[in-house]
Amino acid sequence: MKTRYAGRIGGQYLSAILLVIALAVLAACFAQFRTVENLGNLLVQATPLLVVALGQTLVILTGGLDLSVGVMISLATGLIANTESPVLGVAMVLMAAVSLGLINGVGVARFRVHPIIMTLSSATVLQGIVLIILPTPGGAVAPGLVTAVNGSMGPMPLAVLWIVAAVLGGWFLLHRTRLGLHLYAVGGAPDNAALAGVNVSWTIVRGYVLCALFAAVAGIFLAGRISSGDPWVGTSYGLDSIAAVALGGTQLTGGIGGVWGTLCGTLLLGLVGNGMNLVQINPFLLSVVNGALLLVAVCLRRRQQLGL
Amino acid sequence: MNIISSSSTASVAAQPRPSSRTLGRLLTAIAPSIWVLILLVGYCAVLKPMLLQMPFQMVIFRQAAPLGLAVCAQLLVMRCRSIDLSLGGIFLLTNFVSTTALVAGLPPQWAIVLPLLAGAAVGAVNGVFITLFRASAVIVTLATGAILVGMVLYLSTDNAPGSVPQLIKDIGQGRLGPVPIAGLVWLAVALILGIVLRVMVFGRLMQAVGSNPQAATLSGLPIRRVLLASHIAAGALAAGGGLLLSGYVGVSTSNLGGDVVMNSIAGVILGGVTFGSGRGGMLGPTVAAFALTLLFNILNVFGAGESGKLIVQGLVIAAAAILAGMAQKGRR
Repeated sequence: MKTRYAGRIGGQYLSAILLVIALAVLAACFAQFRTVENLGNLLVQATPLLVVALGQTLVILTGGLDLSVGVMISLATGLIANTESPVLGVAMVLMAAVSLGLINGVGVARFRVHPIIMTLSSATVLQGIVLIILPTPGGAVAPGLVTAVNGSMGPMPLAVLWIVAAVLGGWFLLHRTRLGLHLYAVGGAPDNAALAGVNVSWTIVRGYVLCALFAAVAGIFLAGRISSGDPWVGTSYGLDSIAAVALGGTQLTGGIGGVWGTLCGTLLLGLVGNGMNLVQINPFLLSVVNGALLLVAVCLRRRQQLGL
Repeated sequence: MNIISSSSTASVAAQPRPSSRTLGRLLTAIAPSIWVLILLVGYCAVLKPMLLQMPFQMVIFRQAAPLGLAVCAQLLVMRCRSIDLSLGGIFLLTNFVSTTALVAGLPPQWAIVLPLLAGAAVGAVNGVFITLFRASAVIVTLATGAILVGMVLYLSTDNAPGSVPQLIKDIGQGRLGPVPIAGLVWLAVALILGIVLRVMVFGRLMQAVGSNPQAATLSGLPIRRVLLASHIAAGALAAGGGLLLSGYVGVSTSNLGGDVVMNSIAGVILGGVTFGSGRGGMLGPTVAAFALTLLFNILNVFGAGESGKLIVQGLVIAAAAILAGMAQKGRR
């Protein structure tokens, strides 16, 4: 049992080591990095990506992939910025997320469409809908939400609470509920899981719904942060969240990985961005560095499968 | 939309047992893209016959050529159960390489050879990571795509926009009589690829690797070399698409190939090919590139705007993919 658990953890410790190294290097080299404001900024900037990446982790653990999270974020900011009452706005966002997750999940599990294709096409349709709801950036966000996102208690930004809630929520889901165990089981060996009585399709569908819900929360956070809606704001999060999960040592074939790796992966991406900002490197090079980091990360752990 | 689903489901329902092969081949030969094209042409004939006139069709033919080559590239890797998400990056790269001083002092044919080599090199990097390090193709090509886009944007920040060499412009914009040269290039490539896939050993190997990697490995087939070769070929083909598009645009631009990854996957799916399936020839994907381009033009003509375009595009891909999934299920 012990060894099996270690196997499920996968390469998460590697990303933790990378994170510590990056932290040490940045702290040693830059006095500005060690300031409380900078660290606070870093956390606030990393929060939306972390929340999406946690949702992405759930889907990737089942062996899937969700490219529609980015558009879900854009939709969330659009809906929040376009509705008068914040409660109604949030309710609409959550409902939209559940429907998106259901569509993705049913397409993947029931109709056996490849996750990349299913989520890419649902993302395309959804982007069109977002552009109808909100053709250009704008709208207004309830001041309460803006404070809940940008405010701080003493030196600690409130975003830390969002981070703690999201990570604990994801951890509880994966390691303390039946669904979590089933997600691992389905990702590790779908046929065996089915033989053991796990409803594979329904588990996958719930994975996609939860992923969309995490993306919705990230979108709500982002709406508060930019205090308006933007139909394109989420675009980069689709790929970035996969990068964060992969950097965190979670295997794209499913079944191996977890919350802590994703936390490390996200913070690592944030640190790299922050560090390059401090050295004032051309921002275009950031995507080069992120890409190279990703290539290094995927080579750290061998796997059986060839290809996708 | 209704017509596609009902007629194709009918063909799926009538899917024969593997024993009656010829009928099965006949049915699978009819890719979703052909249904889409029939539907679109019918739609035009009723509502806007003007769109079906020769000059306009030739414009669409020319527009479809870069996408057509990108579809060929994506098709090669998807048939091997891999994917290339760096096609957009390769498009940008070819535009950059063909407009910089790199090719200025060289004989004109280098303006074509050098970008093609660059594309093949990117494909080789992808392939090495995927085959040698067994990394996920999604992650690897995502990363190389991001690296390419970042590099090109970084390198071109301080450069004044250059012009594409005349030779590439001639290919991208020129015509032979009424027929655009770019379209002819595309058809020639698709034809050669179709022959390679159908007749030559490489095509057979690819089919074996795609349809059952385990069986292919156990049979001692060079699965890694096939995968590597298809990634290199995909890189070169994408570079060809980038060249055709650069030739049409005429100048260096950072606004190129943003939607090519999405559209190439759409084209492959519409062409009746999914991950690992070796069924169907080049006809479906080729028609798919044309049908998609025609669809975008029709949507433009009817003033559907960006949002309408995206919604229709997404629905078409989803419908084609769901049909393909159902067909596969029926075969099991």
